[in-house]
Amino acid sequence: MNEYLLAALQRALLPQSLVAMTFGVTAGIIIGALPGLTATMGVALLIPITFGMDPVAGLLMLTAVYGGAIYGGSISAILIHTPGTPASAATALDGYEMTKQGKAGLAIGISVIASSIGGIISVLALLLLAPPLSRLSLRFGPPEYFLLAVFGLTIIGSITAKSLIKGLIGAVFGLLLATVGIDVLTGAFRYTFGITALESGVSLVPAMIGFFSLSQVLMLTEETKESIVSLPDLGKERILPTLEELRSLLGTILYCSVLGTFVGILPGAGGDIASWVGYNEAKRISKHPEKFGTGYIYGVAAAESANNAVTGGAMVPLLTLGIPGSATAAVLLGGLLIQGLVPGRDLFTKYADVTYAVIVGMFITNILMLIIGLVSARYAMYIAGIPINILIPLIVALCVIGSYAINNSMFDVWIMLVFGLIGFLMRKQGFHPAPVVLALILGPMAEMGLRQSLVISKGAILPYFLGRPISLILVVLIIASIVSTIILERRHPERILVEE
Amino acid sequence: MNRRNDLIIAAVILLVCILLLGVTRNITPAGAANYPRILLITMMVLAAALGAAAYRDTKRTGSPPEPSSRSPRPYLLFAFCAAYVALVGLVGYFIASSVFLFGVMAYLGRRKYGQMLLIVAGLNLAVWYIFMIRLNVLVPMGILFE
Repeated sequence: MNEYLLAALQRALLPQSLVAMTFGVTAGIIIGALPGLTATMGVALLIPITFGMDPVAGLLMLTAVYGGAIYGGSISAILIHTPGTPASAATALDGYEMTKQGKAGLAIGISVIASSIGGIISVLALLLLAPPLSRLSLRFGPPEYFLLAVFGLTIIGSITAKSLIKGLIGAVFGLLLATVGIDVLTGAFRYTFGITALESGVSLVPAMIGFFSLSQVLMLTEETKESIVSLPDLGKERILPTLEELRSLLGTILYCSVLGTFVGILPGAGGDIASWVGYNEAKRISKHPEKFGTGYIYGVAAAESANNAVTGGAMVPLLTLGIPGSATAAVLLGGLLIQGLVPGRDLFTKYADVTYAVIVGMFITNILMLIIGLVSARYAMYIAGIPINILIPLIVALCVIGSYAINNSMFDVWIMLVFGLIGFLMRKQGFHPAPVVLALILGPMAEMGLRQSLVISKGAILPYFLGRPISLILVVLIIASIVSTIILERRHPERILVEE
Repeated sequence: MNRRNDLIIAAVILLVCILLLGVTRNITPAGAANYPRILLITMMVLAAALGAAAYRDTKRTGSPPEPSSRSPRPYLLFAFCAAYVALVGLVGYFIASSVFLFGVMAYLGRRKYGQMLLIVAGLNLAVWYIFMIRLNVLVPMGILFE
C-alpha cells in the first residue's frame, strides 16, 4: 500500500485535481447551505462534468461536493434554524441558539473545524479498512454478487421510503428499468418498443439527474416563497475559537468523528443518523448535559464532526463491496462506474493508482474545506440567502445540459425529464428515488448473478445459495434487514428517513 | 400517507405489470423473458401487499383522506421544462435557456430585470466555457441555426 501512497499524493496534488477539489468543495458548501438542495442532488448534477475529466479529478470533485454539502448544511442550520441538509438537523439545536446570542460566526467556525476533522478521521479509517476488506470480494461468485445486489437494495429500500413495501417497490421498479435494452446473454430486445435509443438501455446519468435533481426542484417549487428571513451580519463577529476552546473541544470532536465513521460504514445509516448519534453521545458523556440546546459549542462540534465523518465511512462498503449505504453513496457508485471502475478488489490492485489518489485527495479535500470554510464564513449569510426563484430555473438548465452532455443526445434529455416527473410523483406518495437508481445501477449485476447461478446449480438454486458460506451470510443479512425494518415500522410508524 | 392514493397506486402498478407481462411474450428467445417475468410477479406481489395494507388501514381509521398539498406550480414548472426541452431542439440551448430562465424567474416572482439578465448571461457563459470549450460537448444549436 505504501508504494501507492506517494504516487497517489503526487496525483492528488496535480493542478487539475486541486482545481476539481476546490470547485467541488465550494459548490458543495453552496448546495448544502441552500435549504432544499441536498448533497445527492449536487453530486448527481455534477456527474456529467466529471465524465470527460481525468478519473481522479472527476471522482475527487464528486467526493468534495459530498463533504462540502454535508458541512454546508450547517450554515443555514446555524443562521436561520433551517438545516440545509437533513444531516445538519442536530446542529441547528445549539447553532441557532448561538446565532441568537450573537455568536453565529463562532458557530460556523467551530462547525467547519469539526467537519474537517471528522472528514479527516473518516478518510484515515477508509485508508486502513478498505484494502483488507476488499480481499473479501475475491471470494465472490455469481450467487454472492446476486445476493449482494439484493442486500444493497433491501437496505436502501428499507431506509429511504416511507415504508418497506414502498422501498422494495422502488427497487423492483429500478431492476425492471435495468432490463430495458438488448439482453447481453441472448441478444434479445427487451422493452425497447422499437426505439433505437433504448437498445443500449436506460441511460444512467440522465435517469439519476431526473430522479434526484429535477424531482427535487419540482418539490421545491411547491414550497417556494420569497425569503423573508433576516440573516445576521457576520462582518465583525469572531469566527475562530480560541486555542483553549479548541483544546477543550478536541476530545468531543475526535470521539464523535470515530462514532460518525462507524455509523457511515454501516450500510444504510447516513449523515443525519450520525449527527444525532454524535450529539446524543456528546451530551451523555458531558459534565454539563443541561447546557446542550442552549447555544453550547460542544453541541455544534459533536453533530458536525459526526456527520462529516460519514463521508469516509460510507466509502468503505462502497469501494470494497459496492454497497452504497445512502442515496448520495448510490450516486457516487454511478460516478465510479461511469469512469469504468467497479467496486471490489480490482480497485485496490489493478486501479490502485486511481483509488489511492482519490482517498488521499479526500484527505486534502477536508483541509481545503477547512480553509475555504473559514475564509468564506463571513459571507455565509449571502450563500444561505440566495433566492429559490433564481436557483430553480438555473438547476433545470443545468439538468438539461448535464443529461445531454453524456451522449450528445436530446433523447437523454427527455429521459431525464420523464424520470424527473416520475421521481417527483414518487416523492409525493412516500416513495424515494434512491432504491430505483441503485437498482438501475445494480440491475445488470443482479441479473447476471442470478442467471449464472441458475445455470451452475442446474436449477436447484436454494441449496446452492445455502451451501456457500458467504451466500448464506448474505441471505441471513437480507432476511435480518427486512425483519428488523418490519419490527421498526411496527414500533415507530414515523420513521427517520435518510436523505443527505 | 394518503391511503386512498396507495390503493390507486397499487391498482395502477398491477395493471401496468399485467400489460408488461403480456409484452414479455414477444421477447425471443424465451429465456430472456424469464428474469423480467420474475421481477413483474414480485412487483405484483408487492403492489398487492401495498393495496392490502392501505385497505386494512382505511377500514381501521375510517379513511379520512389526509390533506396533501395540491399546488399546481410543480406541474406548471414541469410543463415549462417540457416546452424548454422542445425549444432546445428548435432554437438551440443558449436561446432556449435564456427564454426559460427569464420566464421562470418572472413566473416565480422575481422582478429585478437587470439582475435576471446578468444571471442568464452568466449561465450561458458558464455552459459555453465548461461544456463547449473544456469538455468539447456539441451543445445543441437548434435545427433553425445548424
